[in-house]
Amino acid sequence: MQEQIRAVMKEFSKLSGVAGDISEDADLWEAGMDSITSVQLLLRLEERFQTELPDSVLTRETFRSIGSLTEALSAQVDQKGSRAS
Amino acid sequence: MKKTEDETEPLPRDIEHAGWWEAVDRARRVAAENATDVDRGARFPKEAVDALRQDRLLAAAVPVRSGGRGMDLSELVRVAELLARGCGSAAMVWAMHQIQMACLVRHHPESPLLPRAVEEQWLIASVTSEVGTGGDLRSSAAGVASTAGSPGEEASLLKQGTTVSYGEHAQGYLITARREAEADRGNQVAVLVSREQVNLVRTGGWNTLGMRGTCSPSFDLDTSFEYDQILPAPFGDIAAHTMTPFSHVLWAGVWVGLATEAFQRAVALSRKRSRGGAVTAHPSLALAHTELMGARGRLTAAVSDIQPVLERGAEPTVSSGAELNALKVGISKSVGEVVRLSMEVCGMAGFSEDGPHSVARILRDVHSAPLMIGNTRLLATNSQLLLTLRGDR
Repeated sequence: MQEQIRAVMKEFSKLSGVAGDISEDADLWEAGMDSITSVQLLLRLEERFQTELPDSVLTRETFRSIGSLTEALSAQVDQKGSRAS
Repeated sequence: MKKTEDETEPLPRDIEHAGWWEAVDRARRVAAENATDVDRGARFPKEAVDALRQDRLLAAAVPVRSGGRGMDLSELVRVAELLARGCGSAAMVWAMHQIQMACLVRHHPESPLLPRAVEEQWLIASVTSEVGTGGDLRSSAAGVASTAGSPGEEASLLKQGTTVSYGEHAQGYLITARREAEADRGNQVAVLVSREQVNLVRTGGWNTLGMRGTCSPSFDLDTSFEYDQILPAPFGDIAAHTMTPFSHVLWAGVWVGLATEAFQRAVALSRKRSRGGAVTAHPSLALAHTELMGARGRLTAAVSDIQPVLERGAEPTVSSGAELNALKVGISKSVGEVVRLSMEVCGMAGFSEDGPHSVARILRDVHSAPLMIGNTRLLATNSQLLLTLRGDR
């Protein structure tokens, strides 16, 4: 999932420079993320993973790092999977 | 004897706020007595700020254990409203200062300057807007530079601030900057520096339509400081958790206070006209009341909605941010309408700059509301943030 997230990040000018190399724990807000980019990234990630994150998860912490994004998306994808099975 | 604008009646007392009521009402009266002169001279409301300082109300947002008055957000909003009944500029200066204080006590309680700021009742100015980034709070051009032989000790910063409210009258400055010169524009920190650490050069004037006493020209600031004066949390977190919610809500408190004062002047004049027989009530009075009630309700709801973030450390969400932006835009428009309608009711007495039923200064002051973090910018931001809404609000 992380590689897919990195690939989506590369589409955004504020993040394209760091998307490939930044560590999964590094702070994306310090690396160029801003609120508008976070919204656009969210919409693309939701499309990519065919899921929708709930309002309560849409915080700065969720967008803090590739690791935190992976966690939030995985939880949602897993939940969807378990509902489907 | 004819009453002038400077003469003020005592306001109805909030029983539950008895602990600070007298002090705030004293400051409000001092502010009201000087409001016309402050406005005409575009001068700092020194008398009101001195009165606030004397009663330790400059440390209103500071916890009691740290020497402050320990007011919560709803109390701070109430104080902002009451002060604005006397003078919009004095109230806005106080409100802006409380925003910096809240950032400090919530995000850097160990700040080496904080005990002094509380003890000496500093007035702290905010230096966020900047040449090159304009009013974008979350973007900085200037960066912190290390100046000491060993990194991590002393630093310096040169910032061209575009609108530094009460910059010449502050004892401290909360300045935003890039974490270092090469950092991304959004990778910001905030640092509290004292007046004596800053070489302050005024580079512009302040001769505005309203809020003239906030004295907010442009300044160049050249400052050197210790690294431990930098707030440890990234500024983006401070903005999301404290500065933005406090700003929108406290500014709204000031604007609602101004609108209330205009409305009360319209009520007073309508009552006077109705003495001695037929009641003469202008329909705009009821419309103004309707708008004012809407603004008040909106503000009360916003204070309640933001409590989980402020008191329980909940993470602000995209939707809570959008709601705060909507609060600011909505109230800044409503208060303008309340004051405009109040002037309609008052007629020439309201249009006049003098007299107890003048609404002129208040009307000029509330024209600042849509501009402080421009509504256009907030609406553009919200139009994007709203794309994430999931339909449960």
